Amino acid sequence: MTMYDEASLAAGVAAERGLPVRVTGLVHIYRADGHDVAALSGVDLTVPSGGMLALLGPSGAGKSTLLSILAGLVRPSAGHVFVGADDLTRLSDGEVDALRGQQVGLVMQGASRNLLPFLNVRQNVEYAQLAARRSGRTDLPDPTEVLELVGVDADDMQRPVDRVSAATRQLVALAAAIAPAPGLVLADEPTSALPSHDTELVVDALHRVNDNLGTTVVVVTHDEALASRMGRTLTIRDGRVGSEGRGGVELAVIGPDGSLPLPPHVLEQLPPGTLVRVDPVDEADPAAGWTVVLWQEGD
Amino acid sequence: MVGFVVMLLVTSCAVTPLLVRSLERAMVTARVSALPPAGRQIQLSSGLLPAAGRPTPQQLQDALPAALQRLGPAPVQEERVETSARNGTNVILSAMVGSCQHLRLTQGRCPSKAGEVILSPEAARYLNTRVGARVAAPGPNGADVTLVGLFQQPDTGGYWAGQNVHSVQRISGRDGVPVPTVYAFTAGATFPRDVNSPATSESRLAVMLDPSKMTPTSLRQAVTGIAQLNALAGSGKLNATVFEPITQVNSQVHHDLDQVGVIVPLMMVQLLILLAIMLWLVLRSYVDRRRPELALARIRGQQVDGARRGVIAELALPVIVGAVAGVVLAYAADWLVRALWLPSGTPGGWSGWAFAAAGAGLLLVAVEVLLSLRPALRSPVTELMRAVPARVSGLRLRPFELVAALLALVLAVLVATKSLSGVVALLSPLFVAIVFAVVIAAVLPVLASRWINRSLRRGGTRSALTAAQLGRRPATRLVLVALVVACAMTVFTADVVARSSANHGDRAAVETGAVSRIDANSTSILPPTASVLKAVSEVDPSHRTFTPVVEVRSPSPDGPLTMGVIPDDMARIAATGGQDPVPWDKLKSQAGAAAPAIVAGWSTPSNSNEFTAPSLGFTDGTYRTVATVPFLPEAQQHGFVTDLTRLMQGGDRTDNVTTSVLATTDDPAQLGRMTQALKAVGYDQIDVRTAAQQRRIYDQSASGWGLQLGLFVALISTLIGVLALVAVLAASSRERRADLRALREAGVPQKTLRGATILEQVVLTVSGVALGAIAGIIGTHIAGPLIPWFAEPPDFPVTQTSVDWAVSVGVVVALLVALGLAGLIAGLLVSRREGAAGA
Repeated sequence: MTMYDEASLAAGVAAERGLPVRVTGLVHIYRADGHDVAALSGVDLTVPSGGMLALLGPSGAGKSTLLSILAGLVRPSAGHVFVGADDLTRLSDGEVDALRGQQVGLVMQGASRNLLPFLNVRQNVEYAQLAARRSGRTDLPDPTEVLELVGVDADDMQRPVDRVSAATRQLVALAAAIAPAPGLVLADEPTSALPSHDTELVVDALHRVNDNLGTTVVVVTHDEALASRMGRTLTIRDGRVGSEGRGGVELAVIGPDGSLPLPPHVLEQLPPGTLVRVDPVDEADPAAGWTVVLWQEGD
Repeated sequence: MVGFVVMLLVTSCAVTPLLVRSLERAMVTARVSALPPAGRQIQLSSGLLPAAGRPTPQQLQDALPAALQRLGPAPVQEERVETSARNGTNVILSAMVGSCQHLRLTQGRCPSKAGEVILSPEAARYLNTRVGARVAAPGPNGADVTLVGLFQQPDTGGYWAGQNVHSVQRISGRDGVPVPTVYAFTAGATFPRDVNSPATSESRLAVMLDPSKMTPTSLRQAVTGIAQLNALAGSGKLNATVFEPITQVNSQVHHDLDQVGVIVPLMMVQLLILLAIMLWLVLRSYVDRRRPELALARIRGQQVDGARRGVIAELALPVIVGAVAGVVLAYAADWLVRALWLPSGTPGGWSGWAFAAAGAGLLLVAVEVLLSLRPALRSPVTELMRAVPARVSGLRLRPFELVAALLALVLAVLVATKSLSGVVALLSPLFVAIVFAVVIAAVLPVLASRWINRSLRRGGTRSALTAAQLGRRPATRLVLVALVVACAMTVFTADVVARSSANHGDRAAVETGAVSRIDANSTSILPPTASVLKAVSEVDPSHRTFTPVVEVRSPSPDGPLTMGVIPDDMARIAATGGQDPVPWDKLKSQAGAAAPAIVAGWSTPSNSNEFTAPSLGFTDGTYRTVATVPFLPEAQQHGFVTDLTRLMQGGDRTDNVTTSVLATTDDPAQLGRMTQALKAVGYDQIDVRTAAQQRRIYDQSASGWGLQLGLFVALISTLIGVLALVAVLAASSRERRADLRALREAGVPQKTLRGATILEQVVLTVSGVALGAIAGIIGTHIAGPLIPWFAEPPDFPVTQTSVDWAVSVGVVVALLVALGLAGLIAGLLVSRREGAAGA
């Protein structure tokens, strides 16, 4: 019996496999040309088990760095990263590699970078299961079923990866990431350079993985179409969480130091240096709402 | 590529014990072959004894240890006695087992009963007898014998051990006067078996040594066998005396084997180090190309061990195939060396040591594979995911490079200051090359950076690109190291081989005196000195090809040796041995009572300018030194030359006098004519020696063969240099394509890019060859005086140890052409492919 048969899905086994992600006080500084550069400056983030999250933001904002830290590829300068019950910052390199191979699936930007060119489609998925198999796991799904789940045609399964379409290649990369049945899938720009139809195929595949397996999904993207279908978005700006989108509504997020990064359209109205007063609508009930009042001379 | 380099590396390891073994066997074979036929046998002799106390030949054979019996064909048993015929002729009456099978009977039959003999026709004539007649009183107890047949001796080799039993010989008798001697073969029954018989005879047993059966092992066993035999004889259990060449050969070979055992491994160690560098280069290139796969393996959770296993599994096949091919190639190389280079018949065979050495080579490969993987496996995954390794900048010197450079520097200084001597000196070019290579590799990024800045200031895009490509690739550093070491070794070994060849030729020519030399002697009284002059003048009236030399020796071996020569002839004919010509004209001076003499600085006949030395008169002559040269033709100890004409005016003594003829030719026909002329004037013992024969002795020596091995090392080194250039292009193809694509997109013309790629190869080749050549020449300069040019160095200063500039320049040009062409072709191919990819 494989993980993806009907009985398992019906019993909701898969839904329990999603791993929650919690990031607290994440700081990452790297050195470039003799200077320290802060890629992340105190990021807090929580993704519940089985949740989907898109990380948005301008180039260089730190979102790919954040994804690399979540994947255990980069060790942060400070802060904690919990994937399930494991704090990645406290694990050895070997333990992080093992966790990544079995609990965290990673789709790197550029489908070809995720695949071995000398193997065919199905062999690439089998290769991705190798580490889990060596560790003694026997509950691994059949590669064919994994490929079917993400939507790869049966005809393409025995083809070399350079003989299939770009969209199929991206789907194979996703299949390889979920081949060891991880609780968390991280994808860096999974739809970049794909036409809109193909983007839909990849987004559908991500949703199927999330819906059918309960896998937590975190993607980094510039693609509005993808972001809009992720339910929750987080915009990283200057190494901080700038705003969060829920159900299409963009929300500002108060930082750990009390700062409140404003969305660009608000900043146009309230340029830096503007003095405001923040008052509760009802002092007795803070949940009733807050008002932001421009301060003027004589107030 | 990995498989190919592994094959070469394993070949270098496995072939070393095979070559050492073959050279050792060849040394033993050569030493045994160099023995005169008569001396190439182990002989047991009872001496002349009556039958009562004399062991029979069979008893002698029974006492012969098996180790000695195995050294040749079946031992030859003989009983013999020397008697006199009535006409006074000495008759050696011999019952030699198998003699009839090795003679051709021209009349009659073989002796089958006691008292029957066969003779050669010449001996029969000398004894004035014929078949069927009785020969008066040559039997062991004085009884007459009957001639039953006549024989011809087809040859004197093999069974006969050089003995001429056909001719009438003149052998010195008890009073020193030569006595005519003939051989008569008889049946064993001729010799009395009655223990009461007073007649005496001698039992003999001879084992003719077969050079092809002589190996270092059989020689060691033979030494033990001889010791057993001597112990048996010494204890009185065997009444016989042992005559054998084994002890002498063993003593000669012992020194040879020591040299072979050191020279060959040291030569091969240099090659091994170069191959280890090359393998490292290839492995690093391989690992660089596998960076994305390694990154993916880590991302797929295979941890470091899993990633390592993957690469090792991939490398296993080429390594195993390369190792097996390496062992096969080692045996093939050994076979070729034995077939084409060493004396024919040098045996081969399986060697456990070869397999052990191949195993050691494989272990080295395994260590290099693991070490080459280390940096990549230790790199963070994000680093591995980069399309190209991080660029190299600034002064770069890794700890192990620093240690290697310092160690090499210390060793080079120790050799240069002669604190470290012997065959280790052969490694000095390697030490110098390593120092050069490490330093240049360390400063390369800095130099390249300055070159870039300067080129950019001057607007030289192509030049700047070349410098950038050279400076930023880690593989360039390694290929430069490989090129410098390979070229240094090629220049050094070629220099050593050429110099060794010249030294062997010079020494052989000087010792022979000229191209060839004919020693003329006589078994009876030597003809008058003028006879040799007459013979030469008859064959060569103008003395263009031949010249006589007369030597008069002192009674004491430490005394002076006078060599009478014709000065004008010697100027044309005598060997110079690489030194400035001897001022022969000075011998013509007639001034003063003392005859003019030219002496050799390495062994003067006297400490004073005027000295006395043997002359052709009955008293010593007085000589005056008119010139001193480093050495003289024939290089005789305390020898000096004087004018032959004046020497002959002093008398005509013939005792302690030897005569010879020096020749500018080794043409057998011309030498044959001279030999006949010498025989015609009364010389009946003629010995012809050529410088080529003498030279062969030096070429077929431990140091000769060991140094010639340098040719093989030089060849492989050049091949490695070419491979290094190809490897760096293969290693950098991915990053090169990325660079060129970016530059093309930035608007740099294709022509400039192609020019930069070709220029990069040219700069790399020229700098590698130049630095390697300098290192090789410095190495030769340091090592020259310490290299064992000869197994037994000459006493006279004929050996030249300086750099052979003509050879060095020739090799450098050849290397530039070979490597330059390889680099140019590779550069063109790469730039075209990249151009096509970008189009």
